[in-house]
Amino acid sequence: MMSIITNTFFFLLGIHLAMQLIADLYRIIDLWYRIEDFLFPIIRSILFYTLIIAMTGWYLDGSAKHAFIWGGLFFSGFHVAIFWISQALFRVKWGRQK
Amino acid sequence: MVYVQKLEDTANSNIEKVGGKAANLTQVMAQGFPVPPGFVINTSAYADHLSRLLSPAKSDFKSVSSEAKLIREALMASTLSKDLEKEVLSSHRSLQSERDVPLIYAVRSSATAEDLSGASFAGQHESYYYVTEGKLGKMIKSCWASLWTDAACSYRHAQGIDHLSVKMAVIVQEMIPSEVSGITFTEDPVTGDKSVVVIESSWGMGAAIVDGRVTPDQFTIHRESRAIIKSRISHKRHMVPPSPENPDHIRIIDVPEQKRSAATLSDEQIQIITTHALKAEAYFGCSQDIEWAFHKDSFYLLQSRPVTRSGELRETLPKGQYVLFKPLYENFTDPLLPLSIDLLQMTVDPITFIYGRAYSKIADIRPFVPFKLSDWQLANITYLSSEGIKQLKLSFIKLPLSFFLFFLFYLCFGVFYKRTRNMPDDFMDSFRSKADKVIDDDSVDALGAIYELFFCPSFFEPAGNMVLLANTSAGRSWLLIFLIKYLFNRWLPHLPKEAPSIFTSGDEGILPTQMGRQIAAMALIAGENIKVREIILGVEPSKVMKRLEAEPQATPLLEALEKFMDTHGHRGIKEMEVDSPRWEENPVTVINMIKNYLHDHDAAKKEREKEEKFQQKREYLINEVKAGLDKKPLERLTGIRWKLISFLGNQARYFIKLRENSRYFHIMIFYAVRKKILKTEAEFLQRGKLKCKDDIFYLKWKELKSLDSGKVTYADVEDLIRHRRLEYIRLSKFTPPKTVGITLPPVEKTDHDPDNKVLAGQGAASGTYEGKARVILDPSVNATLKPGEVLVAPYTDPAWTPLFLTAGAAVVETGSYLSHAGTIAREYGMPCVVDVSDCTSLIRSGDLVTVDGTNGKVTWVPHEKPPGETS
Repeated sequence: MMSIITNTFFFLLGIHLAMQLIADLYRIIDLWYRIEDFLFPIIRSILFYTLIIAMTGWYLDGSAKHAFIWGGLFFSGFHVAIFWISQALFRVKWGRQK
Repeated sequence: MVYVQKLEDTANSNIEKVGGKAANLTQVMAQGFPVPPGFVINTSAYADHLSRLLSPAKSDFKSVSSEAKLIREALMASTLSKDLEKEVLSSHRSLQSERDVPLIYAVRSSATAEDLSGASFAGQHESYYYVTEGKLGKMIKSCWASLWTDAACSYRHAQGIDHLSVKMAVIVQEMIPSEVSGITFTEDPVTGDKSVVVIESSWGMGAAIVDGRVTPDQFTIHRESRAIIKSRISHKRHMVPPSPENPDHIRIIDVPEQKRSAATLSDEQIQIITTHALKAEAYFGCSQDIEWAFHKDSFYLLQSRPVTRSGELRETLPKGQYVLFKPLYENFTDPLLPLSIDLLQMTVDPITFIYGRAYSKIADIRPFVPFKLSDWQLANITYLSSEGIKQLKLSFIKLPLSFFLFFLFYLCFGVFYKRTRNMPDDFMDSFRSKADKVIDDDSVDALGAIYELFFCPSFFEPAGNMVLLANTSAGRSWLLIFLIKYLFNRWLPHLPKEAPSIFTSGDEGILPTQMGRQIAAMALIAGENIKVREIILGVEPSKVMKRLEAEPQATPLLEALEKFMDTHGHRGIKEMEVDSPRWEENPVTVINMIKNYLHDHDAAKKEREKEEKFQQKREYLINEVKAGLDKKPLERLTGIRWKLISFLGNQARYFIKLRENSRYFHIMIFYAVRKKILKTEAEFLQRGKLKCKDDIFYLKWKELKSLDSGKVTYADVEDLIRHRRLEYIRLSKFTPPKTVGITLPPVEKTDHDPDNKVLAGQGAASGTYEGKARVILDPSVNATLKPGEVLVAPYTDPAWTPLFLTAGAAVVETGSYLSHAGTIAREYGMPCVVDVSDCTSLIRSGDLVTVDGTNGKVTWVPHEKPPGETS
């Protein structure tokens, strides 16, 4: 029971940190128009989360490590997939209405 | 003649023979009313014609929906029998012989099933206007075919009426080239007051009023004394001319400038109309709604029928339970036009349109709410109201589903929500160029513009280009405000009730607020020059721009105005509506706002003082919060509570700003859609596919496509447009219910007592203010608000912001704490009460109003008008 809870926790942590890192990477695009003002904080944040993810992954072992990595990978895949699926659905609907 | 008879032929005028409408006209004629001459193609003509087209086997059918199209097409492709053609021609020649100019006709359907009790067939059958001799045959067939439209078939099916039992006669009646025309009700059509007669009139042909194209002059006459109790002379911009140069092309023209604000009827004409209306009522034995026209000083009665009250709606309600979609309704209480509804329905699935307004389906919301709530409680929460809800009880059965849905929501939108945290104020500016690009791209139509700008960003699109998502992500401000309220109550219960609202306001960079300040700055420029000031204050609004352009000293103001338009020109009143003109199309609205300032020399100074005073109040509150928290254990050492409160306050301010600013930008989408629609309209008008301006807004997207491809013509949609216009007017006068399919228990608002001149609402911005009321229903029509007056409005959207600059307080019929009115009032430090039912009808301009924004209460003392003053 304990391991299920631990694994769930690390799976969710993996998701959360991956989400945070992806959001930070996006901030390069979001703030590109003023990148000279924001480059340093963006890089600092990206490095911070990369370091957290790397350290957590390195520190954990066994099933918790797998849960953490799978959480991160699952979210990265989900994020890309949900974007393209939703876009495809919208475009199909639009095409039909044309 | 077998098939055609004169309109005045009373011997054969039963409904079975000539249909309901023609039978009614014949009766009216027999009573000596001056009805334009004409003739009727009776139902035998239709029956004989149809029997030739339908084989005996086919005429047995009971369910007709699949056959209707075939019948329609067969009717249109058929030719009239020689006998009928001969009779029609002979009747026409007989009428023509009495006229010097070629006759133009109105060709109207007159079905046998019309006006049966319980089955009105309103809007089901077609009528055609400006029909010349050469087109009579085609229009007669079109009237017959209108009995077989999908809508008419569905209606008969729903009413249980046998399709083949209904027959169609056709009225061919001379069109009177009227100089003035209108409609008259022998009771007030809104209130049902039988002591008055209400006349509505406008220049030109009656179609302009009947089709709802103009706001007519309105005269209210006392039935007994015949005295004119009230007269409202409207600004009439359009008219249907008595003799259009080319009726096949454009049928609506601008009213000459000098006639726009002039009364359309003399006292003598009003008495003539009243006499005829009451005579019709006496004959039919019930209140009548008559259509009439004046031509060369002669009165003509065009139609008489029983009055239908504007509140009596025949809307077919969808199954299920719905609640009014407040985020849209609080910005826009009028119904949406058919084209806007259609475009939104095609793209935004979760919204249902009932009575022309957006509703959310309760069943879609319920899974997200993990509480034990009845339908009406959930409806109240969805409507952002806590009426009747004392305590929320968690439902452990629903919790897993709610948790799963929230988790899914978090997975889908988490990245975007994080991306929009702590962004600079200008991060959405790039959306402007994206919108411009879509507007300039001719390959993208109106529907495409919605998809491109709302829903289909590229994978690497900056967050600033996704304004709808940014608006959604700003919804977090609710939670933050709730937390601040909770912590204040727990740690600092002695603070005044308005503390959270003062604490979460005062952020710079809210675009509508900046827009208001820019208008104030323009007012300063205008006020510095006497000539410019005189032009703005003295010249008629429609001429003021021309006068300013001709005045060399107005250059600085015009330059500032041009700069303002570059940034804010896409804004306007009712900006989610595609037919609503934007400021760049009509700068007079902005000039009127500048005018408001110029009424008071010190307005700008007073405004600054007001803002400074509010700032001081805010600083005082912050000190009080800090001092209060310092008394808590370990606070002096760690400052943990202040850090938390301060963090929540900053975040709440940021997200409130994001909510307002993202709305400012996503309005550009409606602006882009409008541009596309206007382009299509211009093209259609030029190609003769549409004949009147603004008709396009009453068509649906597929109908536009069919018009474009030539599958249907203007004649096919003309009547449909007319009925939709009338339906729109009816819906506009109707206050939509908060819920559909759910009965709300009566909620007692303890303070709400209109009899004692007290109204209760939600306090959206704290403070108390007393001043004279100014009721403004549409700021584009009358935006005059003297500095210090209390603005009383049905709703507000960002286009109303400049009025907040000069107002002393605001009272709004709809809205919530986070509605536009509340947010802007808090920024300007003025009291505001929202969600005040009926405030615009109970409070009158000039009444002395006390607005208690802290307790959400409005009291008023009616202003006694001096004798002779009319409303």
